Amino acid sequence: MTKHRLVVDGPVGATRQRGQEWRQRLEELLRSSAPGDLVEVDLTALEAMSVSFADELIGRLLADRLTGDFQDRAVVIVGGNDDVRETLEAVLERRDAGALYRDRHGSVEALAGPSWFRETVEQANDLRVFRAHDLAERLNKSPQAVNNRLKQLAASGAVLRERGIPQGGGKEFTYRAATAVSGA
Amino acid sequence: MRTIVLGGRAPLLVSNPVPWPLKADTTFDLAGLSFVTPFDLIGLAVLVGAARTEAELTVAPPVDPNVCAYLQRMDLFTVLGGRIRVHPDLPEEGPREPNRALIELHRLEHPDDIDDLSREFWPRLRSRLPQEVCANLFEILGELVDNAATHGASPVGSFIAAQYYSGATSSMPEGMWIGVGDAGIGIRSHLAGNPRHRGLPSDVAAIRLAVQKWVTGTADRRGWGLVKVLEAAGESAPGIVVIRSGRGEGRFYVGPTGTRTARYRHLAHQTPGTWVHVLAGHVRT
Repeated sequence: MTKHRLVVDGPVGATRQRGQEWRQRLEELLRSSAPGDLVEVDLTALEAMSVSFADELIGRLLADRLTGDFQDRAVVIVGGNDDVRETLEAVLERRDAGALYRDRHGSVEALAGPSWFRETVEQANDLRVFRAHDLAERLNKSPQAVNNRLKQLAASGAVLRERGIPQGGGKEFTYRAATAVSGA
Repeated sequence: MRTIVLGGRAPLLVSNPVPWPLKADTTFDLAGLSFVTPFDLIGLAVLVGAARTEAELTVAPPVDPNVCAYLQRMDLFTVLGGRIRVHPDLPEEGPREPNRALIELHRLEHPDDIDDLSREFWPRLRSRLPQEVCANLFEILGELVDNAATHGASPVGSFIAAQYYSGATSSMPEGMWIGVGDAGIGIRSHLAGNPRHRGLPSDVAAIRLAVQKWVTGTADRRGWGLVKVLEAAGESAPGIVVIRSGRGEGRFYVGPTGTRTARYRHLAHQTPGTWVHVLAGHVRT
């Protein structure tokens, strides 16, 4: 498990086109990383970013992950000042997506997302490595409801999904919280 | 030879006095100019940049030495450079203040030029202005330049300029005044790229639609740009946004609580491309 980092140049991320260029670099980094790795998107050099830049860089990345891309790699966004964080939050809210965010002081939190996102991330962080039914028990939810949540958590990069082969055959996924990945 | 008088205060922002396209050699007579905004600068730059190459263009500079010096400091004559003749000659320009709270008139060939320009301008502006004012400025410029590239792609490129007014000497509302303009196809034709928005009856109808969420001329899930510009303009104090495209204009008065009053009008003359004025209001604390 290795930590990779994409440092976005500052001081300003203004245009959709530049956001797209940075997302392509991020996708290359994800492709070159291995399952189980952590990728950090470092926005600390940015003093400001526009909604279009943030949507192209982060919003579209998360939308693509929802279809299954790179769900075995964890993603953490490293901020940024309050302006950058607010813009990021606005973009995530408009896409009804959440993300894992680490501030300048090292505190990791769930940013935006549906109403259940924060609580589910907290429980996943607490469990570190788990299966869906472990989380279902913690949240007192049905396995189906938890599976739906896990799909979005995996898309956000807050957990990474690893395929396991249970003793009885078939397939079963194991989940690892991004904060449990070495170096997170 | 035709003479178009652009005098008084903010002549291009206040009205749309230039018949377009220019059909003859033209003199832009700025002699009586007494106050100019970034919108006036980008407007004049687009008119000159988009004029037929065979038309001879002359600019008569302002008589008021302060206004003339301001146009020189804003690089108007440098940007228009080889395309215009200036008559009478300009006076010698004085020294420029190093930490001026403005962005001179720039022509952008590509939208992400603004990301590169920010490296130059951020430290200068930040030395004079609060973080939130600078962040707001570049967020607005980013959205507008993106839009200019989307519906304004033309060999003319797009033009930007900005100036912070404290209100102390200009008696204008305090805040960042921003102008962004292009000579492209305009909002109405851009929206027609999306089958849902084809056949709009007027440029005013197109502007009215373009400031709604999720309205875009592309196939992507986009359409936040102008919405965000309107929000940002009124984020900390009342602001104004003017969008002019084709024969339409929308004026939006926006406030920190999300209030928005809109006034639309049909224009007698065509505007080449799309021009946007933003006054992002600010109150010093």
